[in-house]
Amino acid sequence: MKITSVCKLFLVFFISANTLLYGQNGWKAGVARTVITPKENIWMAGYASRTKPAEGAMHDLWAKAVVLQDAKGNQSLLVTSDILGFPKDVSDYIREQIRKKHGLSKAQIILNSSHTHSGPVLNQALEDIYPITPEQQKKIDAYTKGMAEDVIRLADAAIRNLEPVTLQAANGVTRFQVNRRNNPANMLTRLPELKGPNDYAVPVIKVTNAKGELKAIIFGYACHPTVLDGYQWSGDYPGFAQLALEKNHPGATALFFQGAAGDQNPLPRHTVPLAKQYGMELAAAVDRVLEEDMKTLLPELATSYAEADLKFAKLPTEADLKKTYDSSSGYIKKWAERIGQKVKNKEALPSSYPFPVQAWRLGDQALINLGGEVTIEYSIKLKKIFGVDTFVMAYSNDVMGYIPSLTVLREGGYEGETSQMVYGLPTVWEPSVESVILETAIKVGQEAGIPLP
Amino acid sequence: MRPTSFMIVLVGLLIFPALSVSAQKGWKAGVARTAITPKEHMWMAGFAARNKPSEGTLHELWLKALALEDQNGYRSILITGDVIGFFKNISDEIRDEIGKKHGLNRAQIILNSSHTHSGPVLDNASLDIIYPMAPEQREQVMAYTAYFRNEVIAIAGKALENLEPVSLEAMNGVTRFQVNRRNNDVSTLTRVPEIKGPQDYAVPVIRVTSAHNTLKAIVFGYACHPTVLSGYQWSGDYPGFAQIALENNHPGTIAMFFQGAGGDQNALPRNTVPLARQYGNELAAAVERVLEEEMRPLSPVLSAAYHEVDIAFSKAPDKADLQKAVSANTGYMRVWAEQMLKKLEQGVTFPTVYPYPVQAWKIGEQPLLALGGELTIEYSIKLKKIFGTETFIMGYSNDVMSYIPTLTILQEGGYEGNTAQMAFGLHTTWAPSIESTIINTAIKTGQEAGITLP
Repeated sequence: MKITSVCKLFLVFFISANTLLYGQNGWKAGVARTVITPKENIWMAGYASRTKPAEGAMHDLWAKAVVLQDAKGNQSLLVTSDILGFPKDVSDYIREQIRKKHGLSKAQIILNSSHTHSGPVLNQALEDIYPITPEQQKKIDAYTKGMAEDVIRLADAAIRNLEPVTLQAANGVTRFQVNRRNNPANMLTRLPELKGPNDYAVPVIKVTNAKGELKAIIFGYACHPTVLDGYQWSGDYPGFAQLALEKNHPGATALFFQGAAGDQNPLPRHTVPLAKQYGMELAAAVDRVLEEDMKTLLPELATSYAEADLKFAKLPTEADLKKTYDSSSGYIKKWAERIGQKVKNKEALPSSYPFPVQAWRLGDQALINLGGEVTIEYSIKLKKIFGVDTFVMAYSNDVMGYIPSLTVLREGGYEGETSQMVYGLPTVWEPSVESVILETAIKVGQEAGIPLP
Repeated sequence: MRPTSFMIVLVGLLIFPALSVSAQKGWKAGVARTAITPKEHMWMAGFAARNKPSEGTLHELWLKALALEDQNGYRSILITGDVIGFFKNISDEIRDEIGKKHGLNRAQIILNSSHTHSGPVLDNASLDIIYPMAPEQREQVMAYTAYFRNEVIAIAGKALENLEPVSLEAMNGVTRFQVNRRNNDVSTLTRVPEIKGPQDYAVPVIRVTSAHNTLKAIVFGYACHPTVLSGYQWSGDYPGFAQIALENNHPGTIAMFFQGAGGDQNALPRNTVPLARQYGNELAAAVERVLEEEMRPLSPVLSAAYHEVDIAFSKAPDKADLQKAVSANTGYMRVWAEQMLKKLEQGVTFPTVYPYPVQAWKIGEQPLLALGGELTIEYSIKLKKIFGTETFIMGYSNDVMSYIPTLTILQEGGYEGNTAQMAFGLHTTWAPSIESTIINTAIKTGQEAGITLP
């Protein structure tokens, strides 16, 4: 027997072992994208201080989708989008329609929003903070409906486009985000050290088809897209990052997902050149990962999902709300009025909220996905639990409010306390918030077969 | 009078006052550049760990020059280079020669090295301590150093020949790929939720625009060691990639990188070409942002001042100290101890001080301080506290004799505070007066250049 034959035999054995394990096929993926820039100049989401609707587009807003299918035919769908957040109603509707059409459960669907603050207001989201007229509300309702249908059609298209691919994953790094709670923005140029906690990771998944063409670049970062606060539609820094990557890699779709950015801002901010700079920096971090060795993922997909009962602290009484109403102005007054009316009408305020926690395992790549404006310590702690290579997504499936760590909750301030009123919630979270979420994440992660190191 | 003639007169009226301010009485600038990539494979500078000469080129190494002339005809010249350092031996010769040829004194010349660790070894005092070169490789270094010296002198002349009317603007940007390498553990970086300072994230930028409104030069800096790469290919490291990115974005423009107080700052993570490119692109993105935003126009008045201040060494080692060091050490520390011992045996007296270059330019309203050596970051932070946060700080200028630790770093010791002195062939550490001597000299020099204390 010649040496080459031995080699061939080995190779045949190796290939057939893989074929036995994974069938004829490895991963399949389908990619689709659709512009969701509003055709009308409707109200823009994210800031209470805007006084008028949008006045034009800096660049298009996008919804993008990747469907994954493993060797056994298990599927999952990731949707990323240049919007502030999917409110629960919208998300539930979209996921239910996709379940009916394609048989995908909530575990198999992630609807992630970039949280751009230069996108449209959606129905049922932060309604107390915007000075919106009934006409504008109609436009918002119409846009919300249309956008939901666009996302459902996007899933159809992505599934139609399934083709054999390889998947690879690795983390990169960049540092334009700043912990906004622990660093004063106005002194930034004079500070020799920026306080944490921070997570500088840039998670990247590379999707390459059988011809070796780069089909999709899925990447994330944990940082508020709040560089811009003007009146032009834009994806903020994630929009610029996606444009840069798609320019560098013609034919590829770049999908940005938001991480645990609740308390992270890009600083300094407020100018278009800065949004562009941060987009370029993020794209540069992704391009570095794409050029280096990445971990190849075996074609095994597992998904899991739960809604944890996240408890509110002691609910306010009618007297508490009257006191707040009398002593406040703006959105806090509106909130006290709205909640006060409910209490007066003997409507029971909710004592808890169903918080979505999800886990995907792509080969040996762990991905933990949470709803809400998750603060950075969750990302740090989940990586301590599941390993530093874990990908953490937030702002997915439902954005009901900020999700403070126990530390942030106890410190109070915007992310710990007052943002609850912005979101129209009855009161702050109970101090069990952190341990309940982490425990649920561990349970869901283990159901998806993610081992604890 | 026909309308057209009237228009011409009007246009003339508009142009002539503008000319008298901005062209005849404004700034002039000239730029030049030349590739200085060694033609032969030779020893590479910066890491003691390399065990063979270079093996190829990732991209060209450059020498670039910007000559400035203010409305009164007062001139200065900035030369930047993709080299490890302008050491005193050649820096003095170069500046004397440029001075003689063009009537410039040392205050008017800045030689700044990017400190790339993927450039050629140049002749200096530490040559035989850290680089294990064979005699023929040593000869290559001597020949390259002579060539390099001549190229620097030549490029100054070219830049001065190219003087044309320009406008100058300045502003600081920001990026954060550098990490204080003394106070952060590189091996746990991905698991650390906070990076310890001190750090200076500033990206100083000067824009030079010619009279017909074309971007002539982008002068920019950052305080961070170009030590992403440690291989065997010539490159400017991240500053090289940043300059290439900017010159690609702005065809016809020269992008000149200057090193800041990067002594204790590393680009982390590091060690791959894609990372060097990432950091280069991030730095270029920070510069682009500054260029797109409003910058501060600089009035056409230039002043410059320069001093060499004696910075004191601590107590010199005696023969017994050095004999002990010889037997207690290996590697470059042992080579150093042997060399120092030999000097003592030959009757050499160790110097008690070193002439340290401190320079200040005031470019219109823009203060700029250029210091020698591997300046650590606290100097930049302190000088900005003294002169204002918009001040531009250069390190690695005119001479790189060793690290320049702050009092804190000197007392902490370690590489930048202590053992680097041996790598540089100095006989002992700096005296604890170093920080106050340098800061006071900077204040004096700055004031001589007309920079006011806020």
